[in-house]
Amino acid sequence: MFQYISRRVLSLIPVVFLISVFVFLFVHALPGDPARMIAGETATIADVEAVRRSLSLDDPLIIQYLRFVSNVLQGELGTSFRTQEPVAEVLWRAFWPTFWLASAALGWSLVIGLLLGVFSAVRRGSIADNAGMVLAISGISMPNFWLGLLLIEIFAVNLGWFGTSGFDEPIDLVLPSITLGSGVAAVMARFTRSAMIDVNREDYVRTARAKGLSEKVVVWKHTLRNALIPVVTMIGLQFGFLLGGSIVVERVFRWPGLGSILIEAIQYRDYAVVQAEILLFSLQFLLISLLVDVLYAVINPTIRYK
Amino acid sequence: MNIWLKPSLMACALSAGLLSSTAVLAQDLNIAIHATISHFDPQDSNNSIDYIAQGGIFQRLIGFDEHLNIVPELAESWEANEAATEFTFKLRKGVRFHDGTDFDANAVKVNIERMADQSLNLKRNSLMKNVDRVEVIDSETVKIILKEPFGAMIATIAHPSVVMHSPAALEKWGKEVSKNPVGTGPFKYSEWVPGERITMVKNDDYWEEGWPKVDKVTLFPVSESGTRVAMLRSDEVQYVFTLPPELAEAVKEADGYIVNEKDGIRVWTASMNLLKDKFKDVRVRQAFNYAFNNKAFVKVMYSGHGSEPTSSIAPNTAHYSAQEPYNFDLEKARALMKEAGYENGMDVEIWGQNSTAGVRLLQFLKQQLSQINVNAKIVPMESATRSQKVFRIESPEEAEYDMVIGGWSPSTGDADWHIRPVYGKEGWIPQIYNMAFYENPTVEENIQAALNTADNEKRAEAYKIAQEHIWKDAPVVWLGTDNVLSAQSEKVDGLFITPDGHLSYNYAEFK
Repeated sequence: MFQYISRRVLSLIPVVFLISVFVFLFVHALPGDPARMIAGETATIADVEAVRRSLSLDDPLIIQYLRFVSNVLQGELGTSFRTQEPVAEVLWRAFWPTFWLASAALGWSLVIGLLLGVFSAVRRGSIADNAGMVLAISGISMPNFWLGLLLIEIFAVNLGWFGTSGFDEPIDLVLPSITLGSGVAAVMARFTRSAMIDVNREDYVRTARAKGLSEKVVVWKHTLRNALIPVVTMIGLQFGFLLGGSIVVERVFRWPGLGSILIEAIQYRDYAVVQAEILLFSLQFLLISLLVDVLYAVINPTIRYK
Repeated sequence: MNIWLKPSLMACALSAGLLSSTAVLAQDLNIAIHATISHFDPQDSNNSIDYIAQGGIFQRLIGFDEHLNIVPELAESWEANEAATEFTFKLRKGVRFHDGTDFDANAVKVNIERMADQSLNLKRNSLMKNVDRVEVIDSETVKIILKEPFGAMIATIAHPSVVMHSPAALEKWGKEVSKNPVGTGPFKYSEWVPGERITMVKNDDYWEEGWPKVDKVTLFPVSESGTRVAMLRSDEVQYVFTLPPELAEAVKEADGYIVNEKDGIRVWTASMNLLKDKFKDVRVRQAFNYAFNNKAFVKVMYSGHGSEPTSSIAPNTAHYSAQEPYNFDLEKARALMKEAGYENGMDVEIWGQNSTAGVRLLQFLKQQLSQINVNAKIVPMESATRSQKVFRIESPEEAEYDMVIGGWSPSTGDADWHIRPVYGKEGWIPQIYNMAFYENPTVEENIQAALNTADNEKRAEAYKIAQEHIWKDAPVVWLGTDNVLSAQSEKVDGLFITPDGHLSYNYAEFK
């Protein structure tokens, strides 16, 4: 197992290097002039050039690239063009709110999604199954933006149970994580249901039933465990996306996370922040894929020997 | 990372206030603003949202009141010589910076010289590039001497970036003063969590008797306008700026909240590229203006919260002079097109923004122009992309657009900083903002005449003539001016928005 994990970790190194190159090229290929955006539209050309000089954006691109790579290799992510803050600090501060929100959203949606999926699969074709799936489709289709404002209107403005927005204490997680998790719960439910139905047709499930095991054991031990492999992949992907920070939910709930930072950095062409954040997203995805692979090996022991 | 344990003063104060009485809360003012700020050095800032956060901490020699009239701030009086090259300020006595340093003529010298030093690459250095030197006459008198005459100097001194930093803080922090602001204002800097909140506390040593009347001001940047209004209605904040016109009705209907509305000074335009042959004939440009229904525009774009243009600058700008409006008149527009030889119309490419409002504007313009057989191709662009395509050119000939949407608000509140950058030859892009490449010798002459005197009557006369010519020449289609909207709780008083979009909370009090 240890060997398996260390092999996977080592294979990440060239991937990370390639990503850093692409990130730099991608960010600089975007149209838009950071000096102009930071100086403001009503600035004179003298003001814009002053900003360009102060940000060293007048250096040739190759120099800027070498500076970026050498800095990244030393663990130095640079400073934000706009606020002059060290990028590492900006990301560290924004990472945690996004992490807690993603975890809370994934946490509840996983429990609800799995239960709803199993329940629907077992009662396939019944009214309960249809009702569950209608709920799931609504969850997928409901725009986050609208759901968020609706929750704020009901639970914060009218009932006063929660604050409208911001992140000061754990209870502030409730409304945004419901908003963010509703889509995930729905996807989970649909995914679990179809995976369960597929596995249900397998010979070993029929064998389990034939040898007289109770339905409970068949469903939870034989069917669900085998249905989990695609579900775990899905969970990993969803968590990766959630960790990127939802721009819409963070905006509606004034959430000080990675999504808010990214959208603003892109608007201002704040290269240093955009580069570092995309790099961070890539790393998160790589780590999550690694984790998913390890989980596969735990769920299905034959995988780790391949 | 013990984010769970991080105590939040605001949350505690709020819950304590809700449980016991509102007395605890009464003196903490909370405000939701529409965007995040970048730092706390006004001399290095170029956007109104920064000035809002800095406005409680810093003061200028001269300021603006609610209606953009010039009023004394740290200077009690001032005078200029006839040639508009020397400006003398008599300073207020007994004013101290938050760090205890005295405010005096030397502090003014240090600050103006900092802004005049072009090697510092501050975003507002260009405002003071005309300064030759600053003389300290005595501790309460200071004289600024210019290289060239500049009639709009007083309005420029009143610009929100021309503030007085504590000289001791400048000495100590250098450029890092942007994170360690020390001014003379009614509030002292307390905390800034970027993207989350800015906190200022009462300056007990403030020079103006009886002010400030609140103990603490917290600004929350909230980009989603629906959330800003929800925060107001749940009493988390007492003031909201900006308020989009479509939410104004919702606030008016709720009990206990007021919508404030003021005529703005940003004039929205569709500039015509005069370097292109199709726009060389003034009749074509006038026809475009006659074909554009400004009344419908204000309704469609601003839900009626705006005004139709009556000159190249807005009525609230100093030295505005009303012109005969281009009232919507399709017959006249068609006749002018025919005279100019464009009876069958023409093709034009119009650049603008890809935001919801930006696209709506472009579509409206396209539809209006189609009435005189003008076939418009509209090109909505993301804001940074548009900015680069429009402004990042080496010379005017490289400009590709036929027409381009723009909006200019003079941050000095004076005709000079609207007419010169937008309609003057020196403003031809990429230099400043003359996107039409308009040039008229009479206008140039009068811009210069107004610069050469500090006599406001003479300046007004010069700008009157300039406005008449610009209006007749019609280098742009004048679209409209949006009102500045904000919302507040009835519990507070004294906050106001100026026509150029600056929010003042220095005279805020709870009723």
